[in-house]
Amino acid sequence: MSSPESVTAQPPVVDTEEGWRRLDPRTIWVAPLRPLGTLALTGLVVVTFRGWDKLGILEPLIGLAVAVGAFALSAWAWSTTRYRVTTTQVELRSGLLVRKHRAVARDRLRTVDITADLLHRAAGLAIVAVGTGRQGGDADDELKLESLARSDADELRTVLLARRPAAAAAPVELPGAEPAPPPAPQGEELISRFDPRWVLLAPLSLMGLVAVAVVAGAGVQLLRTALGDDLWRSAPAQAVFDLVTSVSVLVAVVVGLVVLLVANAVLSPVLYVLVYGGYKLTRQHDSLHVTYGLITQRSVTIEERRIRGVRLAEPLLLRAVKAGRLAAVAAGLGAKKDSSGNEKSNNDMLLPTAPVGEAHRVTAAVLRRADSPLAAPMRRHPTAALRPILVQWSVFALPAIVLGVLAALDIVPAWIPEITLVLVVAGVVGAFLEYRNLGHARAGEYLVARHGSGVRTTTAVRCDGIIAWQFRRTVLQRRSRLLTVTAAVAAGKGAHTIHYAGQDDILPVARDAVPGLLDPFLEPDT
Amino acid sequence: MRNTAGVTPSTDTAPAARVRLRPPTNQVHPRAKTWWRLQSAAVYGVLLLAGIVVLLFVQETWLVAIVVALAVITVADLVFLPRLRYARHRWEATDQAVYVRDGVVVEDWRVAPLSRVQTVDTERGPLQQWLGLSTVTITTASTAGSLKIHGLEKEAAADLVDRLTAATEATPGDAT
Repeated sequence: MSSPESVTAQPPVVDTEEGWRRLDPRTIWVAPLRPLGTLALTGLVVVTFRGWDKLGILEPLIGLAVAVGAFALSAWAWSTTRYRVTTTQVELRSGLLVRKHRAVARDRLRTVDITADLLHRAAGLAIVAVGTGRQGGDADDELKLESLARSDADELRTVLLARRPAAAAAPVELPGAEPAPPPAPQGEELISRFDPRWVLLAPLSLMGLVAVAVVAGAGVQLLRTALGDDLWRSAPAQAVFDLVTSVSVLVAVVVGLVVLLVANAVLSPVLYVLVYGGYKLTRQHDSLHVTYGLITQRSVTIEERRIRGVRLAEPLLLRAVKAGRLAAVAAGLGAKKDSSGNEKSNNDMLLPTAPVGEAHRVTAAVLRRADSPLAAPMRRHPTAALRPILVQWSVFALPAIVLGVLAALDIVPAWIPEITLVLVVAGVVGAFLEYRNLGHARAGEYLVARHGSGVRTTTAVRCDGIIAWQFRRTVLQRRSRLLTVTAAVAAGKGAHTIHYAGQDDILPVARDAVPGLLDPFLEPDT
Repeated sequence: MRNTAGVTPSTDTAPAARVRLRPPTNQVHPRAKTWWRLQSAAVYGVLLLAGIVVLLFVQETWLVAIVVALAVITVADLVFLPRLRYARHRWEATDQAVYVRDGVVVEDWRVAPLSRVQTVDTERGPLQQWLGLSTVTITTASTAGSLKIHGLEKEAAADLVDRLTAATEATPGDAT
């Protein structure tokens, strides 16, 4: 057992058989806090709805026992966990009953993410996740150190990413004994940072609405589980019900909408600042560092040589004010839907909701180009493309048709299918938007594709990152000379698709994108 | 052609000559038709059998109509679809790339350069073993870039795998 001081003084890299280190001992206290907090909050809500008078002596005792148990388990887990960083590997030994040993080869290591939520930050801790960025696999190739002292975490990242050419040689240089000055940020280049004006865009991103929906859904679910049918009879629920039924339907709907709009307008900027506050994008050691978050602080490192391109997403409302989000298309990022949570989902972010102009500037800087390939003028796709798109969107007409038939048979009242006609209009609008957003371009060494209806997505991928081609069309599209082209890329979602392009436009583009590959398989068309 | 200095203007693409993807040179083995027929026959056989059993107990007009329709689809699928697919499914392997065409309703062409090929697998189910056929799967570092040649003759498949494996090993790098 060593004290925290001696742990921090110990070098993070040791080239011996020994050198196993423990996680920061403060982890014991911090790790169980979050689940316990959730539990306490749940208990509080349930008790409030059930009535405080029904609370006995047993429930608090159970709570206390659970808390003690959680801390004991946490301490046990801490005492059985060791990690070490050798010249070739990062290793982790853990497991209470089943011992696990996981090792990641350092030369295959691609990403080092540092995450610190509010609790960890209060305790001066951070979670470090190192990954190999294997494509298409589950998140199992990741090694998570939960948690280290913040300074240790930063130091570890610098050490793991600063290596490279002669990794096999002597252990990596260590910044002296004093941990105070962070290892010289030499050559750190600032690409973009948080701009308070971006907050004005937040309400259009509907972040607040999403938050309201999530909280309301979770709350109702929680209460339903805890109280069952009694929920609708409880005092707070009755009060709300009485209030709603005391006014007319129209007033209730209008008030409800206004409440939602106000909630969105208020919550969105707050959430935006909390989630993306302190955003900073820098380049150092040929890696990009993305840091953001006021509550949960995240720091993602993306090796530049793994970047194959960028992706700009512009949701409908943000498109109206020329704003969007920028993400990297990089090997090992953006493909995984983590089963254990959403932590992986946003690890390819380069720029949060911001003006498109800034997105183009960041794109150019990230790709080391004079201009952004995303800004290239797009070649529109033939009008024939509208047909398959309308067919796809025709599902929106299905309720109207089914209900219309039912209404004709006098099974449902006639106003129900009439309301669903709104869906038909929405479907047609959606289809036209999708058609209008279709496009592709070749900008320097980048192949750019644009698609999407509600969210317009423009993706630029470097041509030398294309590892295979796929061309598809249905028999019906043969006459109209449409072709859907997918460039397989070992990054992001793995596929870079240009939907419903004109065959005569896209085949020469594909041929020129990867020189020599397609030429033998093309023939003059008569 | 394209100007390397910056953005290619997309409006001036006046294609000198229209091009299209030509059919790959080789066909798979004709026994592949039998294989596809047997596969479909198994599925449709079960469905038809279930339908007929139900008909033994309930003789509703619409139920009879469904079973008859199923029978018609079965015949069409067994007689015509394998022939169409056999005509569509072609492949070619040059020194630089593999090229596969497949699909009857949705036509699908795939091209992968040998330098990006990661694995070459052969797969033989019980039916294929009996017919002396193999399916060759060529994968790249992306799931979107995998190619399949269904119903190659056994020896031809082995030759192809050897050739592709040799070519793949000769290329350095991790093929991403």
